[in-house]
Amino acid sequence: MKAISLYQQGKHQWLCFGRDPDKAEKIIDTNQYMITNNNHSIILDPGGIEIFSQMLTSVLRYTKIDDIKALFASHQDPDIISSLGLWDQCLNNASLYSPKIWETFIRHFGMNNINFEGISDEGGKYNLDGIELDFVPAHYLHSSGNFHVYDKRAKILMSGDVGAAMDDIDSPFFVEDFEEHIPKMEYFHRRWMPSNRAKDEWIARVRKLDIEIMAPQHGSIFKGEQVDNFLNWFERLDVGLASNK
Amino acid sequence: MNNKQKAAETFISVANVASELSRAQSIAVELSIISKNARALAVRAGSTAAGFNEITRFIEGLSTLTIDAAETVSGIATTQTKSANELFRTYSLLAMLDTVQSDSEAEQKQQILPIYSRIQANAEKLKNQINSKLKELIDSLDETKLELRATQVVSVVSRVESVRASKDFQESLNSVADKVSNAGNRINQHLENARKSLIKLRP
Ligand SMILES: [Fe+2]
Ligand SMILES: [Fe+2]
Repeated sequence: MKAISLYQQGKHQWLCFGRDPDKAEKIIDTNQYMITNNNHSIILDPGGIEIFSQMLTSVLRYTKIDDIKALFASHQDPDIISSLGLWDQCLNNASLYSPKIWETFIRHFGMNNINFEGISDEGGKYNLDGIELDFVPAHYLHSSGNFHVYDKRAKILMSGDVGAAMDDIDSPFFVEDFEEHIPKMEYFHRRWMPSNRAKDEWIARVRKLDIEIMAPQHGSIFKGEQVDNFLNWFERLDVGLASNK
Repeated sequence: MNNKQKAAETFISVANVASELSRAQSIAVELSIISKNARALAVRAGSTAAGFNEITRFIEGLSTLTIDAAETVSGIATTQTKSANELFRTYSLLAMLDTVQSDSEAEQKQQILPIYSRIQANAEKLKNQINSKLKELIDSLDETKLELRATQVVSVVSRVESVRASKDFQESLNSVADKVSNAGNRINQHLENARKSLIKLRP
């Protein structure tokens, strides 16, 4: 599994893990993120059971196991959090931040030691040893209970399945040509995202944030002007249609 | 067979045991109905089938015994399935940690070590727990099987009694004997299947 640093300022760092060459072909490729500040780390969308050992190997290169104080699951999907039962046996005194409405479902992945911290619909905050992270509501994008993570200091928005692209394992970490990138995103957004209204509300909310990097859970990351390109394209896209076109 | 496969085998077998027992249980319910019918028959047959009342009470007892045993065993089997499943998951995790170990540098290895030994100790504890419960399950099955032998005795006694009854009732009484013997055999078969499933898990 490859790792890149998206941001680093002193002890405050954003890392992205993904493009795992050992991953089974039929499993969707995912980006996992970790934010660390001093001796405090949070893993965002830690991923599925199948990539657990690669993930644990990778994160330990950047953090100590006891410094992993929290996991965040943007929603309940297996590619997001089915590894929970495994993390549960490895972490001490960690919490899982996740949409409150999904608690009883997510517990099916196995959670005996980790403490569940449900995020209520209006969102919430997380204190990463002095750095404030925002849990930004993104309901119905695509899950009915869904949050993104915004770091004002780093100007990064982790956008879960929004901005996701179905791409090759050797695709670049960052979007280079937006027009070329559209076909990799279009069907997914139209088919998985159920609501134009939810989409418009989210765009309005996100446009108020100062974003340098928008980091989705699948495919390349949007940086600089590509963030605006994405928001403008997404605004025009009609979603909630189960047609193949 | 590696540890993971063994744990998987355990929870599949124990789930099988629970299902065999639940089949035995529904036959025991049948047995209880047979006994009630036999009692009604005995009343109608009057003094010529006096011995029959005793027999029906005995059949009733056997039926209750089987139902109770099935309940106890399936209770144990359910918790065992859960523990064996947990053990399976723990072994899966240990296998993954092996991969992490072999892919890591010395410094990361050091971090994994305490987690590894904690989880391994947990697996060992679960394994011992499961093994001692398995023994308990087998003993309890053996006991029930032993008591069920009585169904065959009941069947013979029923036939003897039927000879003494008046002609009108002989056929019905014989049919009770057949049914009791048949139910006993079927229950016994399910218990035997359950036992076989468990015996092969013995460490
Ligand atoms: Fe999803
Ligand atoms: Fe996803």
